[in-house]
Amino acid sequence: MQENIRNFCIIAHIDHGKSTLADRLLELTGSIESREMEQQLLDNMELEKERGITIKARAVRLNYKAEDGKDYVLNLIDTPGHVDFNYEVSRSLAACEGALLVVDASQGIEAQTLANTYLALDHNLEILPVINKIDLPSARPEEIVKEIEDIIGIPADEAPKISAKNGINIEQIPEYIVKNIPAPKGDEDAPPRALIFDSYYDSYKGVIVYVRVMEGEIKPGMRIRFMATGGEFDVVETGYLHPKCMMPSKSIKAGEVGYIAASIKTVRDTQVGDTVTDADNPAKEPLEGYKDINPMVYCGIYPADGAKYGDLRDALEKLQLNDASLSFEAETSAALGFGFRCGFLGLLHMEIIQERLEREFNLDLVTTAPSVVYKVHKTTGEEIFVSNPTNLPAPAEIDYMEEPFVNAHIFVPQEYVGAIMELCQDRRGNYIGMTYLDAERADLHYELPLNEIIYDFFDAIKSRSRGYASFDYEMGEYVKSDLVKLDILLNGDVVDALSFIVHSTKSYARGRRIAEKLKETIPRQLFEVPIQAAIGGKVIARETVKAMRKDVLAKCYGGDITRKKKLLEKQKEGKKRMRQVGSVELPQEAFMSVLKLD
Amino acid sequence: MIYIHIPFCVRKCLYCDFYSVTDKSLYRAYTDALIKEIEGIKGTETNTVYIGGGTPTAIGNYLLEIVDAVNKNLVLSENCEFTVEANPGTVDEKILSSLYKKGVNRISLGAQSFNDNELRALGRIHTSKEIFESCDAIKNAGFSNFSLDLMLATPHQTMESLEYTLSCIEKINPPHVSAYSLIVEEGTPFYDMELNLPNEDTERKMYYYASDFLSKLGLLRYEISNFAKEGFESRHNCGYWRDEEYIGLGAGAHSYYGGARYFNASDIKSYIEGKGRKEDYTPISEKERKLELFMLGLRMTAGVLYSGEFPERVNPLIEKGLLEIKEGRLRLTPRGTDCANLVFMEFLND
Repeated sequence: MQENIRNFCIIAHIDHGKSTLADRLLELTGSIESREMEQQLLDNMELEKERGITIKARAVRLNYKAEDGKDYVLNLIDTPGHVDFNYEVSRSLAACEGALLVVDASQGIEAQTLANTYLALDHNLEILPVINKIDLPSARPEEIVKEIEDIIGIPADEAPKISAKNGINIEQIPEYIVKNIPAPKGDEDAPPRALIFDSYYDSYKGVIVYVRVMEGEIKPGMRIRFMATGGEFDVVETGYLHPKCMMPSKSIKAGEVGYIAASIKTVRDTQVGDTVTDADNPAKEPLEGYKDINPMVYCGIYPADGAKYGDLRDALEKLQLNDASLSFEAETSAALGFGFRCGFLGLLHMEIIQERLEREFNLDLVTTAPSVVYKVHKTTGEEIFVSNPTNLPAPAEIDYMEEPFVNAHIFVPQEYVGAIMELCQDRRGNYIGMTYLDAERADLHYELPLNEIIYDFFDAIKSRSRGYASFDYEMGEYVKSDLVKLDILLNGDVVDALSFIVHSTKSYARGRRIAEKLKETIPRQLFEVPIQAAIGGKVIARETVKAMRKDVLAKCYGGDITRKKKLLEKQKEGKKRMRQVGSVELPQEAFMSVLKLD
Repeated sequence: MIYIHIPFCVRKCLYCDFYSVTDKSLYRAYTDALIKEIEGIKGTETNTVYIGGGTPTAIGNYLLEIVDAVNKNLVLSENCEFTVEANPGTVDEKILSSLYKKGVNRISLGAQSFNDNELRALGRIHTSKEIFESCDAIKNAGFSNFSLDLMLATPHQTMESLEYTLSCIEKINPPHVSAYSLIVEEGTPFYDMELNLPNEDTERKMYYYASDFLSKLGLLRYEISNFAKEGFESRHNCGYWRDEEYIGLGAGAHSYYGGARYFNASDIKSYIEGKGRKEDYTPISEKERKLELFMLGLRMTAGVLYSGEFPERVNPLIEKGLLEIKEGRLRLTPRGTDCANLVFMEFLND
């Protein structure tokens, strides 16, 4: 009975309390006892908990008896909260009829929230504002209500004013959902169409596909087809997503949210956004909105210990089982040996993967500076994409190059507008416009080259606005650009893993800064090490690491030998973690030092 | 070789990471326990005895009891080198004479510097004047063999102040000097302090300046930090670098014999109760022993006899200019002496 179903998600800025609210709803609907609930159940990856962000979507089914005496099924579909996962967010939204817009009662609307709200409006979702953290001394709920009405243009005077943390007015939320979010209205008799919004690999059941059934019905025994990838599988099990377990059901029907298990071996067959249909009675058209998503940012990942290459490959394969947006292929670097060029949706995605490789697989990694994908038009008329600076053709072979731009919105208190504009200009941004959100805050709209924001842009924004600015972007167009390859030479030899592509106007400053930074990072060696930054063979900056003067234990007598040996072992261990590049020993940080230049 | 540890000091120096305490009430019980341990190896023959610390002379007459116990229980060879460490401010002619009469024939005095502000910065209890007085007392007591410890690259030290310290050494004219560059060790007060230290380049200048100066006085460098007139090299310490066996007595003392290193627990109270004596040990494999022979032996200017051992370790170091072979002996080059750790670490067992 679709009229008793409500499918919704929660839109909130990172620390505005989405996970806490989800927890309270689980408690309130008795789906889970508070004492047995590990705090913030929905974010169940360790890393997510630590960073307070939701990386992958999850879903949960709540049972609620409303004031009208009827039993309702509330399906909460969690969404990733970061711009890197914009597409995944859009697919989660497409699975819902409504969204709770959680706004912090003291901080107001942030750029990311607004971006996701617009996305939700694009999908015709009913937006239900909720004012959270009303128990903060600095809470200003009335102003926030006005802000929501002014900025988003939806009525907010009936928004529940709650504190998810302390359970204030939480009981209003389920009623609010039941009354305001429309019930799904899919044709139950049509050929099935189910939207994939997430999937993960389970070692017993194979890939578990999370879907929202839009029309028709999917049941065990049915042969299903994934309309975009073309894969066909036999359904082994369908069911609902209870907080504590997966609950098998006879089928899942139009309007419902549930899962499908069909002995699928890899998540690559179950792309988010794809449509599941009955292979024997297929729908005519897939659901709208499917996109083949491409990595935006690439970097080289190498094992610190070359012998761990196989382990790294296994680890990447395992991560890919659950993360279809991670791509990797083998590559070789003269400096770093055998490793992988990995593609990510964005910087956060990259950091998460690196951290998981190190933490969950206990790998010691060397990573190279991230690069965006450049479009290179060769003089032969050929057009190629370059994500590894080493693969850039010689200047003579290049007609011109293009680089990707993004459309960025920065919400910033008025007093910092100048500082942020200066930053955006410095990062080669094109000013598009500025609108005032209220008397105090502006929405700065810029087009920025992606390669200027993948380094430290977010940090720079935060530091120039004392943490008050927020930032969101979506991918824009490729734009013709005057780019050059900057090489770094150590002791006269180019270190391939340190090369990168930079806009010509910034090359000199960048080259100088990197040379300085490397000088700080590279420890003294037995001999003097010249560091040079060069463009096409022309040296633009030079620094020198002086030769080591002294490294000797002054004392070693009978009682010291064991201890001194331990010191030497520690020192040797440190040396082992260095990378021998030609005759120079480089610490792993050196490869990232090209990144952190501020 | 016998080493005896006296873990007492009048006050702890700020850079010191040796085990020592300042509690005088433990002198009696510790001395008794130590004498018991000495009695436990009754009849052991030895050609060197080294009583170190801490500050052995801090405990005054208890030290004499310990020396008596050594003479009574151990069989000292003819010409046995018998060293006692001493610090200015804790010695007078009286005790030095007593030690001399009991067979002690070498004093190692912790002078460190002749600049009073540097001494204060190190947390030493004495002044430069007291160093001169102690040296007079040492000579008057009859000692012809004694050593002064110096420290290089200490807080506030400059080339000028080092020149002054060396000029004082020249006046005293000791037959042996140890000159150590300060190492700021974890667990010492220095480790957590903001120190005004000479940089790496100045430290090396100081080391070479001191080295040259001392050699002009006839004090030739025979180990990384040790200088002696001919025949006055410390036989006990050379024993360590030649991988000879030794027995260590006292709290925290280490021993090395029969293919293993033994450790006494360093806690004085446990030691007094007779606990933790050589219970803890590390076996040293034959290969490790051979490697240590290089790691330790290469500290000495003369190096080690060499007939092609460990070529995979030695040859790259020769190529890097850190080691050289001269007259059948492998030794550190001057560059290798500056960067000796890079050599030593290649002789770790792996």
